[in-house]
Parts: sequence; structure tokens; C-alpha cells
Amino acid sequence: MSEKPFLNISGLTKKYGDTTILSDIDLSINKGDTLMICGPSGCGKSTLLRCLNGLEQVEAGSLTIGDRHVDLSDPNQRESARQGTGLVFQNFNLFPHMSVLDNITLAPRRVMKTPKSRAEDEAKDLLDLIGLTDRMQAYPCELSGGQRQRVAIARALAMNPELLMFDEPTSALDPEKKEEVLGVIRELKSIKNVTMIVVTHEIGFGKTVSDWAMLLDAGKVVEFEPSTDFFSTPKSQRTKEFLNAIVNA
Amino acid sequence: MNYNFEFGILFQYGDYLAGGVWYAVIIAFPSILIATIVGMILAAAHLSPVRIFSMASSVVVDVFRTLPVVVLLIWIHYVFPILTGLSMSPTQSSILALSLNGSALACEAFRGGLQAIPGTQRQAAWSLGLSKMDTLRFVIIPQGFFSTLPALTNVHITIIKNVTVTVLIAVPEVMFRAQELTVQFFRPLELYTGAAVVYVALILSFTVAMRRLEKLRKWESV
Repeated sequence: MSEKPFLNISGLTKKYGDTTILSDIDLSINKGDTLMICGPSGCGKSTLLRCLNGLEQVEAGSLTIGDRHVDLSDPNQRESARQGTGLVFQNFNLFPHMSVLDNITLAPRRVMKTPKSRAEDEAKDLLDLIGLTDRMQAYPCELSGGQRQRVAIARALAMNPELLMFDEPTSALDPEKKEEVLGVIRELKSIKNVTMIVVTHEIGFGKTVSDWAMLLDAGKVVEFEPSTDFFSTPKSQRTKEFLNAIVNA
Repeated sequence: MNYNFEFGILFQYGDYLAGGVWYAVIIAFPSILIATIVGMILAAAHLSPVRIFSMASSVVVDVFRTLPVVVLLIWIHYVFPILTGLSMSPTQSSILALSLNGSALACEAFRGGLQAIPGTQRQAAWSLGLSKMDTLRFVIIPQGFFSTLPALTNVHITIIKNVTVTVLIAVPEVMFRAQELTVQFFRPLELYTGAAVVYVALILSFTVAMRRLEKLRKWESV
């Protein structure tokens, strides 16, 4: 890895009461890299993303993206993490009372003070990218699950995050709709060179798209390797077991 | 059972009875308006992170939703003037009593409506970098408006029905007039039934209007 990685997470520790959810997580990746995180339920994958997105108060840890350095344990700095990172949720969490266009333009207009017309032009470009230009005025309830998730991706992208994170973006979708969403994520990598962290159990997707892969278990990093090595020659016994379990599922 | 119903009295004095609707309206309407606004403020105070606000709101709500409206009315109309030397007309006292009770009920309706919005909506907004104020203004309140409406309609109906309690301080609304005519003609069953019909009609027309408002929602939660 080059001397100064684009994304660096160091010493991230999160507790709920006496229970340690994440203990001393360190990792770094380069600009444009995609990191896949997998692990059993309750291992802290979602919490990790939420911490990086500044949604959770952590005990210790910092995040560096490009020139932005955020001490995540400082409540006043977490705001900055929210603006530098984007998060796509498992259940989309679109704003049901707003049209697709309003969902995408709300944050740019309110947070970055982008004028309405420019925010809408940018939103239309994003809609073009996710292939939903014709559903611009629709409400989320009128869209399929796959379409909703694509809109959620566009909504996060509209803030131009330096790091885009996905929390099991396809686990609420059927196989066909899954492909629809994974296709968009692939395009983000190839066309826009977005730096991404994807929590997913789609091994096929991980193998073809991610540069790095990580197994998280009980709040600790078990293995963090370039994904070619991770999937072909995992070092840890735990990783082997986990990958076997997924493949045989 | 050999009671002879004589609903003829209602045809004879129906106009007089229904004339009481005017008082029901001038008491219920301001009370609904005040209760809704104060209820909204109480709910905001309750959800506020400032402890003194949320505690004060809880106390006010618990006091005014547990006190029987009859007692509230009598205190306001008879006890309050004794203590302060200030007196109010029966209509004013009624509006105050129904507003106080209604505010407590409306607060709970707003609280329930806002809590019905999943926490994930707030997280999605914060995740995009929206401030707490903007999250409230653009994400929570617009959704909360519609999720509150059904419960709020119930509160409004309760307020309208509580107008009947004002017979106690001689507000000449429908129920008072029914009582008055009963004393005169001894036809209580017919007259109170007639009064009920007037209230049912009033409340039904109100709920029709509220349903129209609910229909303005073009979206569904997903």
C-alpha cells in the first residue's frame, strides 16, 4: 500500500454498556478501492458502518478520509463524518412523503445550500446513472424494492461523499432485484471511482468487485486481505469456516 | 313496557333545541383550536432534551387529563372568581376548561403520532448531514402530521362531546335546552334523544371534514 492511504480508520472501539461491540478496529484502503466486509450476525458489521457515518457515539477511534480527519469519539466532530460519508441502509429508509427527486435533492439543498435548479440537474444525472429518470416524480411506495434501493444510492451520492458505505444493501431483495442493485454498485466503481465499503454476504459480488475483503467476528478483525487472497487462500481457520458456510447455504 | 313515545315534542321544539348548536360550536371550535396548538407545544416540550421542559409537560398533561372535566369546569367558573376576584362568562369558562383538558389529550395524540415514525427516518436524515432542525422540519413533522390525524380527530370529538357538560354552568347549548324543556314537558327520553341526534350530526360532519384532510396524503409509508 502507498505511503499515505486515502481512507484510514484507527483504534475504533464501541461499547454498549459493558458489552464491547467493536474493539480496536484498524484498517486503511486507497482511493477508489472497494472493501467487502462479511461476518456472522451481531459481529458488529452494521455498527462499524454507523460509527464511520457518525451516527454512533464511540469510545475511541478516528477516521481519516483524504484531508478530512475526524475524531469519532468527539460528538462535535461527528457531524463532519456525516458529511464526508454516505450510508445506504438495508431497508432503504427513503423519505416516504417525498418524490424520488425530492428525496435526492433535499440534503444538497439544505446542507450544501445548492440552488434548487442545480440540485435537480445533478439529481437527474444520478437518476440517469441508476436508470430511473422516468420515475423522478414517483413516491417511494410506487417503486419496487430494487428501485427504492437504487434511489437510496442516488440520494447518498448526491452529497458527493468521499466514502460510500452499504449496509447489506441487497438482503431485503429477491435475486433479480439484487442484481439490479449490485449492477449499480459495479457501475459506481467502474465509472465514478467511488471509494466504498460494502457489508454483504454476496460472495460472487465480493470476488468480482471488491479489492479488499474483511471478516469481522465478535467485534474484531479476523482477516483483512486483498480479496483475491481472502477468497482463494484464507489464512484463518475462522475465515475458511465462514466462507464454507456461506457457499453451502 | 308501556311508555308512549311522543316525538311530536321534537317537531314542536326542534328549532329551539337545535339552536343550541350555535353555543356548542362557539365553545367547541375555539377549544379545539387552542387544545391543538397547546397540545403541540406540550408535545414538543415533552420530546425536548431539556429535562425541565419534558417534566413540566408531563405534569401538565397528567393533571389535566386526569381531572374530571366537570370538576375543572366548576373550579374555573365558581372557585377561580372567589380566589382571584376575576369572573368569566359561562362560555369563556367552558372554553378554558375544555381547552385545558383537550390540550392534555392532544399532546398525547401528537406524541403518539411522532413516535409512530420509525427512528430509521431520523437516522437516514442525519446520515445525509441534515441538522436536527431540518430533520424535524422536512422529515419528521410532514410525516407526523398525517400519523397524528386519526388520534387528533378523536381528541376533537371528545372536546365536542364534552360541551354537553357545560349544562352545569347554564350554557344554553343543546343539552341544556333539552333539560329545560324536560322540566317543562316531562318528555326526557324524546328530548335527550333529540339532543343526541343533534350532537351526532355535528360530530359526523366534523369527521367527514377530517377524513378529507387525511385523504390529502398521496403517499404511503414504506
